[in-house]
Amino acid sequence: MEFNSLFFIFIYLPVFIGLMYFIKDNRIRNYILLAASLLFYCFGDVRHAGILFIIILITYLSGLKVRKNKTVLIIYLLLVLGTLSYFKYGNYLVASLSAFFKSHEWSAIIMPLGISFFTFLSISYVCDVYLEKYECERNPLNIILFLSFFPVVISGPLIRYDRFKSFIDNKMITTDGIAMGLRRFIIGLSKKVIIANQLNIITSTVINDNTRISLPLAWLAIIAYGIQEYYDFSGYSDMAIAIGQMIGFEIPENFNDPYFSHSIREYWRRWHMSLGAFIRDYIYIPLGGNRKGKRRKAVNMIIALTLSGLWHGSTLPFILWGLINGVLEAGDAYFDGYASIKKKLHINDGTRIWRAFQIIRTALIAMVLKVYAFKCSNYLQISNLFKGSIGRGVPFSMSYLRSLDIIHPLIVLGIGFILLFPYIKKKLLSLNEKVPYLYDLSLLGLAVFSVALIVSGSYSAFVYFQF
Amino acid sequence: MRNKIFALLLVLNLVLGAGIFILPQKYESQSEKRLLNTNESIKLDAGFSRSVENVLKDQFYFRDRIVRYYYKGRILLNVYTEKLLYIPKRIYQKLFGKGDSMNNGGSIRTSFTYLAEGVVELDDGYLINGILEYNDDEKYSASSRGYNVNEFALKHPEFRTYVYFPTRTEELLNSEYEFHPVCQEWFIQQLDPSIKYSSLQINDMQDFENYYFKSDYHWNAYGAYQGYSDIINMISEDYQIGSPKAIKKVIEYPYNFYGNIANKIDGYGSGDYIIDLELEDISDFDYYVNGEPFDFYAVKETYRDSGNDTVYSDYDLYFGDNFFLREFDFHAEDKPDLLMFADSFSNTNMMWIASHFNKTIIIDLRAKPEDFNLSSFIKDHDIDVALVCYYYNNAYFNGNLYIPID
Repeated sequence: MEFNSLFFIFIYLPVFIGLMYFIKDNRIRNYILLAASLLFYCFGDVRHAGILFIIILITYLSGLKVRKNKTVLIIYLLLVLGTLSYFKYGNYLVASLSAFFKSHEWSAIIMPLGISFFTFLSISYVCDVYLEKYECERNPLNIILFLSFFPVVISGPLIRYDRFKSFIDNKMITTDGIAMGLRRFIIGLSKKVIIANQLNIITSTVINDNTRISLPLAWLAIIAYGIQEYYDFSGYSDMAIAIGQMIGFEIPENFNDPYFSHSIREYWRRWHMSLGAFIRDYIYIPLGGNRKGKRRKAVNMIIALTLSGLWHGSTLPFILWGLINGVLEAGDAYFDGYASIKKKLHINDGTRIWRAFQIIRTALIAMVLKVYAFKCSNYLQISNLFKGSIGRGVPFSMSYLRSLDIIHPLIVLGIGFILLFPYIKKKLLSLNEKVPYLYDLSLLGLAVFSVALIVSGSYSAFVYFQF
Repeated sequence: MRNKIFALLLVLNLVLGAGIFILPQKYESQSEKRLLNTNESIKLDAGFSRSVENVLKDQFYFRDRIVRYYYKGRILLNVYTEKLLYIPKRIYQKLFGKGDSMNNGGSIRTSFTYLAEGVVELDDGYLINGILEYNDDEKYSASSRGYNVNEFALKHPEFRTYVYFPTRTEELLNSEYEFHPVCQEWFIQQLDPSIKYSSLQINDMQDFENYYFKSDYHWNAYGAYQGYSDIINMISEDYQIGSPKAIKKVIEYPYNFYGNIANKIDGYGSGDYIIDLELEDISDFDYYVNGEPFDFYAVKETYRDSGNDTVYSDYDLYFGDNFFLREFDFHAEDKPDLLMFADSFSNTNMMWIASHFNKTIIIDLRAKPEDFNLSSFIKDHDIDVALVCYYYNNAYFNGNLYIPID
């Protein structure tokens, strides 16, 4: 099930919120939340639930014993990370074995939904207990609730158990909270359906038809993908945060205008912030953080971000993406933002022009690195996109561009680009206070439009195309 | 108060959502030519969530209208963007006197007429689901293509020429939703009465479901089999080539097939189940591609072994690529020899057709070498029957497929 599915919007969410609102007993509310979370998770494929329950069991048992016990922690991490590695990277092994043992057919390993996220939730809990940040949880129901909490189980944001615990014990569900959550949900839905899904038409069309990538098209695809991914992910996060808001739980923000960062270091503090915090707390700091000198700090950053790349995906492009990001961030930290170089070149980094340059540079670097890892599905696409982006692809053809039928996504791209600007966003959000009923009406319009797009996406047009 | 009212949206959502399952449901979509998912489609298995979602999407309130306005909006967007883009072009032309290469191929579209679902008539052409199909010149190209086939037939009275359209039937000619039958009329009007023609018979929605992929332009194996049967029945009225062969085996593949238009419908979420057919009494044959021996079954074996769970735009990969010259030799000296002008639609059934002839030569004119002389080629080969089998768009509009009258 997805947040932007009709079933979720018209059946699941209203029923869930209604039950949570009208039933005041906190215990029963927890059971409702549990049932809703498990239903949400199993709705896609009930087979995936088995791994979730195994992780829950391992987490619960480890939590009981892990306090100041390194052995238990190591065993726990081996189990959990081993499970994660098996599902994420096992298919490579399968493919290699299949190629080697041609006589035997090895079945592909199906990755359970959200395994990357609930594994990390589990690790954060167990590690926090090990570090004595709080007591272990003795009630298994609470661990099940935490690891299966449906707003975040599939794609985050990553939450921490101590905050979640207070929510389990007491929920403040009010009409105001529901209304505010609903408003944010609509915004998140619109980001995903109206902007991200439409931009996907550009990126898929250009990159999939990879034999005809010219310089302008390559950069169009790169920028479109960067913006698409932001709206897709932040839209999803908005919807998750909105659901939390509706039931009285504050899920942490995940994005803070990342494309307006001045450096890659800043970017990683603004993009997928919950993952950044996890990497900082459970990888970077345990490796030594910045406590063992500059060089070690840089190495730790590189390791942390390379592992982040590996977590995102199992192929070489993901690892390289993480590694390059790590090197850039480490370089920025090691050379103190390249202050000495700027000084030698007489660059005044306080000027508007320089800061604008920094923002554009950082955004482009982030987008370029991302598209090869996240969008290109094979090395031919990477190669052709790269060639196109450096002007070594095919000559630009206006007629080819027109044949792609991407006029409406291009308009959406323009709108999406404008809405990235924090000033514009702030102004639009301020309408909530200035013209509240008009604001609500506009949100209603967005909701209707989003639903219309979801519905029209199922249109199996009996189309006539030239080919 | 304001928040209370807004929160009531959830109640409204629930009422609307429940209503979809409770209220009377629609069973077919006229504009899409397919059966819609209803409550009966809901499966209590691993496909449960998808089946529920499909019902909600297919039965949503005012769905047809929503889709129509969505496509109309896209068409208008295309139209007015073209207008806007045309202004600087015109200015450029006036200033620098550049020729028609700068021209879009038509005048500024100042009006449009909404004709049918996703079909808009412009001043000088048509937009179908937002794609410009043809302008003034191309509007009449169907006639010239028909004339071209007729010319070819008249130039070669030593054999009979047949035409087959793997598309919709004449019975839909009067449908307000159909456009291409008008073009088919123009095409056929140019043919001498001695030239027989036929097209795939689509009588109702179920035929669409049976014969065509959802995610690809092409017909599926069943559609191809029907086309094969139509062709053999048509030619067997004049030649002793036997009757269409029965289906011996249906081979199912567990893979999702995402065809040429998968990314235009429901993203890549939808797909097709792909099957292949084995017919009875197919004897051994030799197969050549561009003059070289080729293993006809190798392509399908590669597909079967690929193990991919999802394959994109895979029609050619599965049914075979397009080549200029393909030949079948079934060593049946008592049967006639066939020359076939074909496109990728015939990849699926050309072997079945060829099994009724001695030698079959299949030419895809889009890959024709520059020095190819058709008349000499025909002289060098003992042709008894000629067949033109193009999908409607290739039959009416594709200039690459003019048969060379040399």
